[in-house]
Amino acid sequence: MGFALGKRRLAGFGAVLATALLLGTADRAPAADPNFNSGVTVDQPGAILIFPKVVFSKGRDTLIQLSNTMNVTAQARCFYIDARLQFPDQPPGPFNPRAWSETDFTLFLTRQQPTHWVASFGRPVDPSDGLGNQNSGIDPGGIPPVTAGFEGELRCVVVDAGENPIPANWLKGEATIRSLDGDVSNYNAIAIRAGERAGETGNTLILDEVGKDTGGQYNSCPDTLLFNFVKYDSPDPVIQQNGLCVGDNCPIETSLTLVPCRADFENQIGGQVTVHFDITDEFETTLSEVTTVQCWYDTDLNRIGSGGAPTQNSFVTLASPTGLARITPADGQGGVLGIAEETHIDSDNNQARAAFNLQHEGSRATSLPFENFDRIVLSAPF
Amino acid sequence: MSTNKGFWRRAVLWTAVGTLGWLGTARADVVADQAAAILVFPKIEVDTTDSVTNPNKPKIDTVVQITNTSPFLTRARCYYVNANGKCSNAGATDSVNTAPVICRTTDDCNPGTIRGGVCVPGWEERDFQLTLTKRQPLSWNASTGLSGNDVPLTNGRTSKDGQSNDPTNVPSVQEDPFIGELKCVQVDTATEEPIDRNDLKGEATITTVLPLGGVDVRKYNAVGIQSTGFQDGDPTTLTLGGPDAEYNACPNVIILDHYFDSLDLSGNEGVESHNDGAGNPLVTGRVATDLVVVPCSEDFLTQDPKYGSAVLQFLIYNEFEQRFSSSTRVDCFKQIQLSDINTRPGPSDNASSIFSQAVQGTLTGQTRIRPVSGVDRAHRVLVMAEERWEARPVANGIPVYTTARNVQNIQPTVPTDAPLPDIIQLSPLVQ
Repeated sequence: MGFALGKRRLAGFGAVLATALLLGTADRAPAADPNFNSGVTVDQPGAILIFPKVVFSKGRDTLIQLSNTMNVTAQARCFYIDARLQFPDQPPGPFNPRAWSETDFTLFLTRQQPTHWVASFGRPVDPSDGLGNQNSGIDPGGIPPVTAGFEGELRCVVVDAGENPIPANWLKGEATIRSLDGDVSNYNAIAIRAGERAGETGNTLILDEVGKDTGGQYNSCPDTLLFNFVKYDSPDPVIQQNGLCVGDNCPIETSLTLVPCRADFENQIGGQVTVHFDITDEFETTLSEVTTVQCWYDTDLNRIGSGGAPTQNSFVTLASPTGLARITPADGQGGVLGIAEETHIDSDNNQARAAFNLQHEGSRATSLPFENFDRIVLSAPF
Repeated sequence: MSTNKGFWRRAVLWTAVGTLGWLGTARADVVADQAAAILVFPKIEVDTTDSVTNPNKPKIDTVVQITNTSPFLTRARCYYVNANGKCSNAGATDSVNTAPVICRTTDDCNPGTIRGGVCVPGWEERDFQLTLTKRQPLSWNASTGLSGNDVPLTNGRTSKDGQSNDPTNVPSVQEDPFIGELKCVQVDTATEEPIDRNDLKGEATITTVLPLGGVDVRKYNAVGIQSTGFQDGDPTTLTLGGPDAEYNACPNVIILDHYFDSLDLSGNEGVESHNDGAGNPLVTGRVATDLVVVPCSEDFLTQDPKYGSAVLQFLIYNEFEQRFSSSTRVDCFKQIQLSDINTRPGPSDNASSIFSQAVQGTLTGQTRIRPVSGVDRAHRVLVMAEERWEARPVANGIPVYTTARNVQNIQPTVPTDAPLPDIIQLSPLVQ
């Protein structure tokens, strides 16, 4: 009996040693080593969904799709973050801050149930919706509309019936931004997957996990976002090649939306991250820019690093038609997530937009001390 | 004592969880948001031809972007797969029309009073090499390729480290019009053999432009298949998944959130609306979704178009949690509107499809796509989706605005969930 217990202890000690070696390897990994990716994904369901760009402004509205991918009912707490500028016609700055006010609601989805709503209308609970109408289907709970001028993000977190966060990677989502003329642009919601220990710290969600399902709470945010872009305002190569770009007036204009991973909904504190852009063009020339992401960042590329005014920055003066920007938060700071959106304009000023998800590598959790890990603090349920 | 036992139990449990999780990461997933060793662009489309009868015929082209994310010189072997169909009666004429050579559907082969033509599916590859210097992005139009002096670092131009793009020579796609896919495999710069690194990322932008004004654009990320870090020594056979995986397995279940089709329905059902900015639901539009499916297994050696053929099972849920199912088959490349999966091609039966809003009664649904495993290979597939939204009012001739996006998936996290691999047979490099 004593011998058997000893063997078990020995086995246990070996196992712990093996774990320590594995974790130790992870700790020593370079922050940007793609083999130690954060685990955040746009390809799979997750426990936290982030829609970085939701707008109901400037003639555009957002259609949200959200699905429960599991064979059990799912409940989620969702937070709209209204980040409109105090003076929407002026560039952001210290005297024109973003609002960062949140509105939350709870979603209930039956097994495998998809649902959708239009941000400007929300989705009221109405059993008389009938068939084939905008809100037909099992109502997922009351979803409030956003108000005119809304720009910001939406986050949803899977919770149990007591509204406690749980390790359940059940949700996936998409957003489609639609213009008055019907032009559409869509992207996949970014999923942060839960690890075994999700919910251990209640409403404080710690983004500490490196890779998928490695025993932490939630995936850490990426160390670096990889953003391939077309030189700002350069002619669309397809329009140009077909001889339809009159006077080289068929520009591609790209905007970038970034959100800090950390957010404190209890104390109404948005994240703030200084990010560096390391840019490589097709001639391998390197350039750089820097800016601060305060709560929610959405700007055309020609305004990055200039305080909001158009400028001749590296995204404009690039020597080649395309470039790669590596977006990395400053040392010791938390991560960011984001999407980009291209606007293609023909010589008659017709426009079409296309949003796309950014790629990423590395994990912030490999370069930050535990106390600086990104955290999402949910407001305490009443 | 019990506390002590509990400690060791927890320690062993955490070890198992951690180890499995770590292994799971090593054998993880296909990705659209990370660099990888194999890039798949499921849809490349080109049509820059003129029409004698339609001066406003849309011009379509795809801009391909591929980037080396590593600080090292990197090389890739790429394969354009031409999935154009060919008319069996090409050249047949009536008094007005001529049956074309290239077709998408059988109807294309029978214009006017011409009858009897069949659109025979095609599969033909064209390969090329691509060399990328440290963290270099490259881009080109699929209709023209990238060669000669257009290659940034060639003809004596080098990077500050002395690296060049030689011998990069990207040809145009095989035909115009063209529809098909592009696959690229990262190889060693010295031996030209597949290498266990994950350094490539890519995007494709499909642009439609009208000669009389009007533009539409959609963009998607290339699907990345990552190396597992293991190479079996056979440089022409790439093993995706299975017990001796060189690359991650393709997904076992693919999940598509979509709008049920309403674009070609005659009634008022299924109209999505959004706000006009003044609180009125005046901006309306119908929508249809197309699936683009390419197989994970492909044989570039013997050019067998059915090597990766797969049967796909569909499980569809609407917003009432009602469940439906259907199935279809894909050989080498398939683009199909959802409503045509279980009805005849074309709009005539779409109102009766289980993918129709008229049948489902809700605007959106979730479809789970499961490839049926074969006896020899896994026969899995990769999927992207395109939505076509009605433009209102018709904006300078653009009848629909389209979006493209990567479709999400559920993936085995342990190798035993993928007992059979998919195989990509590369053609030998001709020196």
